Parts: sequence; C-alpha cells; structure tokens
Amino acid sequence: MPRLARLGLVAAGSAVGLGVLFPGLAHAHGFGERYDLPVPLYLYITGAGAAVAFSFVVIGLFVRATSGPHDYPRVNLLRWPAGRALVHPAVVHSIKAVAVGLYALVILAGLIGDASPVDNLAPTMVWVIWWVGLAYVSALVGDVWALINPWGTIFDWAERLYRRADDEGELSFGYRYPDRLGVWPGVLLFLGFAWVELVYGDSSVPGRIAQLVLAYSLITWGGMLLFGKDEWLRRGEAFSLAFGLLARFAPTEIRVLSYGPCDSCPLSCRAGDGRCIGCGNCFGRAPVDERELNLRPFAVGLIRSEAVSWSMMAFVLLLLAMVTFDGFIATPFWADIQNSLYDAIPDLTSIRALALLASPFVFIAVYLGFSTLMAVSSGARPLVGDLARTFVYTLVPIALAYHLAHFFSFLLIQGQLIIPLASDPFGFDWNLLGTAGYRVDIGIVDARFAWITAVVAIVIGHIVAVYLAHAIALRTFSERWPALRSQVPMLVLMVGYTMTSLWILAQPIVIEA
Amino acid sequence: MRHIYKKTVAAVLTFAIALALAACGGGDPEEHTFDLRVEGGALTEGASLLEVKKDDMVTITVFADEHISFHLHGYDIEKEAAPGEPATLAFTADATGSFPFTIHVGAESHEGEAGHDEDEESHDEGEGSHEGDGDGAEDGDHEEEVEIGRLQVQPR
Repeated sequence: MPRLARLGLVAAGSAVGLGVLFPGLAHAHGFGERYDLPVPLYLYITGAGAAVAFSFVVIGLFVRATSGPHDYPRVNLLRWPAGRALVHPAVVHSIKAVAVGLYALVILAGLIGDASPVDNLAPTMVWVIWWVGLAYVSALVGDVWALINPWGTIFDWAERLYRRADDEGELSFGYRYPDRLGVWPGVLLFLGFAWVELVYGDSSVPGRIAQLVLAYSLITWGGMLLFGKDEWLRRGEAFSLAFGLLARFAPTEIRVLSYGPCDSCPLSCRAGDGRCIGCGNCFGRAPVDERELNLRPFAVGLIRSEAVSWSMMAFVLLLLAMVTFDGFIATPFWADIQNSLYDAIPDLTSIRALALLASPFVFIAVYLGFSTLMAVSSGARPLVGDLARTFVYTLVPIALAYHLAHFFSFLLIQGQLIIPLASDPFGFDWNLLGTAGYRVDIGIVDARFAWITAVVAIVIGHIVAVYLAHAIALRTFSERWPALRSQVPMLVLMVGYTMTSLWILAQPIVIEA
Repeated sequence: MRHIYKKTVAAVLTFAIALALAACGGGDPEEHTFDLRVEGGALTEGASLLEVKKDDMVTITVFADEHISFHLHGYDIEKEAAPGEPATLAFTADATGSFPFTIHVGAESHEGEAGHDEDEESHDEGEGSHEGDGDGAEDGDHEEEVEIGRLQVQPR
C-alpha cells in the first residue's frame, strides 16, 4: 500500500482510538454529526499550488495598473418594480414577523418539546439553519440579519407601544454609549457564544438552548434599553456584528444618497467619504428616491481606507480564530495535544476552554507581528497599529471560504432535518405538513463534489484576500512601490492561513459529533 | 482591468473543471466482508477503519461476548449481537463519507430517533439523540455509546 495511504490510515486509526478513549467528548460541537471525508492529498497540494500561483497573477495586475479602483460598479435594484417590491413596508414587516415567530417557536420547542435533539426544532434551527445557514446567506446574498433580527423587531414593537403613551419618548434610559468601549461588549458576548458552540457540552440540548436564547435576549434588550436600540446593535449585539462583517463580502448593499437622514441618525453611519452604506436606520427614514439597493461585486464592502477601531480589529480576529478553531479541534493533531495536556489538566472541557480563550490571542499576536513586517517592508514607516487596523478586513475572505467549505456537507445533510421538523417541531408525533416521515438522504452530496467545492472556494477566498489587500495598500500608501513592498509579508500571512485551512480540511475528523 | 478580471475568472473555472475531470475514478462495485469481534466493550478483532468505495456491497458481521447493540451511524443501521448470535449488517454503500459505528451494552434500541427503523436501506439521520446524552437524555439509563470504528466510503 502506498506510504501516504498508510500514513493516512495510521492517522485515522489513532483518531478512532482516541475516540474510544474519550467517548464522552463525542458530542461537544453545536449539534449534529459530520460525515466529511478528508480532502485527499492531491487536491490539497493542487489547491495550495493554485493559491500561490494565482497570488502572483494578482500581484502582476497591481504592478501594471495605472490607478487603483476608486469606486465599484453598482446596479440599483430599486429601478425595477421587483426591486421596489422587496423593500415595500408590507414585505419587510411580514418577513420580520415571520422571523419573530420562528424565534418564539424555537424557545417554545426548547422549553416544552421533546428533549432528544433530533426530534426537537431548536437544535437544528439554531445550529444548522441559523448559525451555519445564515452565515452563507449573509456572505453570499446580503445583510439579511439586520432585517430579520428578532430582538430588534420586538424592541421596535415595544417602542411603538411605548410611544402610544408618550409621544416623544424613546424606549431607552438614554445613556450615552461611551465611545471608548467600542465594540468590546460584542467581542465578549461573541466569545461567550463561541464557548457555547465549541466547549459547552449541552449545546445540543433543547432545554438549554431555550435558556441561552432567553438569557441573551435579556442581555440584548437590556443593552437596548440603556443605550438605544441602534447603538446597542452596532456595538454590543454579537450576531449583528458577526453577520454584518460577513455581509461586507456580499454582493448587495443598501445606500442612502442624501445626507438628511444621516444627520439625525444616532449612529455615525457615514464612512470617511460621506457615503451612507449599510445603515438600516437611515434607509428606513430616507425618501424613496434617495435610497438604493445595489448589486455590487463581491468583497468590495471589505475595502476601506481608514483604520477600524481596536475593538473591531479584535472582533474580526476573534471571528477568524473561532472559525479556524472549530475545524482545528477535530484534527488528530489537536487530539494529540489534548492527550499530552491531560496529565496536567485532567478535564477535557477545561483544556478546550483554555484553548478557545487562547486562540484569539494567538491570532492577534501573529497578525500584529505580520503588520509590523508590513510596516517595515514598506519602507515608509507607517504606524503598525494603524496598518493592522486598516488591513484586518482583508483576511475575512479566507476565513469565510474555510467556513463555507467546512460546513458545506453539514448544511446539506443536517439541514434536511428541518423538513420532518417543520411538521413536528416539538417531537409530539404531529404531522402538520405531511413531511414528518422524511428521512435524511446522507448521499445528497458526493464526497468528490464536496472536496472540489471546498478547495475551489478556498482558492477563490485566497485570491480575493490578496486582491483586497493590494487595493487597500494602494490607497493607504501614497506611492506604489512602498505599497507593493508592504504586501510581501501580507502575502506570506495569507498563504499560511490558506494552507492551514486546506490542511484542516485534509485531516480525518476525530471526536466530532 | 476588467478583461483581466474576466480572464482570471475563466482560469479559475477551467482549473475547477479540470480538477473535477481529472479526479473521476472508475471500476466496478466490489463486495466487502468485515468481521468484527467485540469483547469487554472494545474492538478486539477486526479493523477499526473499514474502507470501501461508493456502491460497493458491504457485509459486516459483529461477534460479541455480551449482549450489545451495534449501530452504524449515517446509514443508521442498528443490530443486536449476543454470544453465539452475531449481528450481520448487509447493505450497499451508496453514500460517500466517514461514518462512525458504535456499540452500547444492553438491548434497548435508541428512542427518540426521527423515523428510525431497522430497515437496511434506510439512511435515517438519528445521530443527535446520542449527543448530549450526558444530561438531557430521557430514554432511560442505557450505557453510553462508544465509538469503536469508522466506515469510510470513498468516491468511485
């Protein structure tokens, strides 16, 4: 048998062996089993090679380009009746109402439904349809979460009721959100979510899910009461931040042309050049002829000329760390590390929790290290902190591509559970829509198709990332050669990150549920 | 710039298609028989990693020294084995993937699996009921399920 195949078998065998040693851990990951086959070596190598090769193509473009792209092509969908129908208040409010209904249904299912995760709507809806599915939609379609966020909708309804009593009132204690806090509350809450998904052993238990959702609801509404709904959504609501970040990659945006609504917008929604993009608040209040719902190229929402805040940089790196950690903890390599740490810390949950906590710091340290190299290579001596905070979005396409690749089969297989659950959300043997007997088809996506999709996605994510970084470099540095030189360390970082993503996909899955 | 963008997209697509074509395998479906022996709750004889290709016909026979329940996840086939009465699973591996198989001591079949039945051809997804078994399970106190191996079905 070829040597590589033998190595693969040994790796897989030890993976299984470890699974026997730690059977109890087999369930700690959101919800749902995974049947992914590791990406074979020839695809891994081809993908890695392609990523590197195409990087040089992109660099070549920028070496020869006469001027950097300053604005991107856009098509305003509101020019057509179909587009206008999409933003019609009736449509918008119906969608919001459905979202609130699903939210309530999930909580109800968690509280009173069957305790078995497969027979209950809550685990599938939360971990598959919402967390994984909505990530796909946010990145590939647009910032749908900003529209369907049930916490925002319910708060809006409460505020409207409140206004019936007090005309001018705002449902808020009106505290000014301290600017220095940035998005740190969101960072902390997202870290908490990461812990629930990746460490917490009961994450698939319906009752627990309901409790966690309720707890998070209280926190969110509390934040909204203190600082106002929009301010909290922008600073502290972890999922608005996460899905909003992914949506920057998406090919749609909402935009307001005039400045009127923005002046009274509680958020400083205008980017440095005075354009109001992605502000739902302004969009809702702007006159119809000054609104745009644009189709745009992918990823342009990630290009920016100014630095984001330190807390936002931390959030982005936390998201990246979480996405990578998710895959990393299923590898035999991590299982070995866990094994060796077990003597010192005889509790697997604690080991994993510590590793989760360490991962964003590792990412931040590595990223700041490479930012320093970027500053040095450019020869222009910019501030490392400014550079780091300006370029941080460019890594998002790589993480996004890995996330999509990693969950592709999972979404298609476990997502099918929603079909029988739609007929029997509580596990009470109902059959509302006639689909309760539906059996999941595990062969819905062939492994080879999944592999190729994954590798192609990762290569594309890498190319986009390299392109974005070069585009931003040309805007950040006043001269071309310092800009291009600064990108050499960035390219190394990106190639490293892409290789890591491919490597994880090529590992046999260990101790995964 | 724009026509170079188009060229890059074309190149990536060609690359993807080339990958897909280059990777297409062939061959006729084969038959595979695996004998596993479980003693003391662990696999003592037989491979823990069973490799087959898509559409192969697979027969797994499980010999046990006590009354156990053998469950192949994904395909969701569950059979009981007892001393002197080995369990036999026979099916066509028509779905690719890496599927764990587990045992648990005792005769109860798992409650709470969506549409679970013992039909060999069913590909039911009954996995979630084994997750979170530590605290929330309501299906009595049967023993914890232990993974003893995996069936890997490679694409053709």
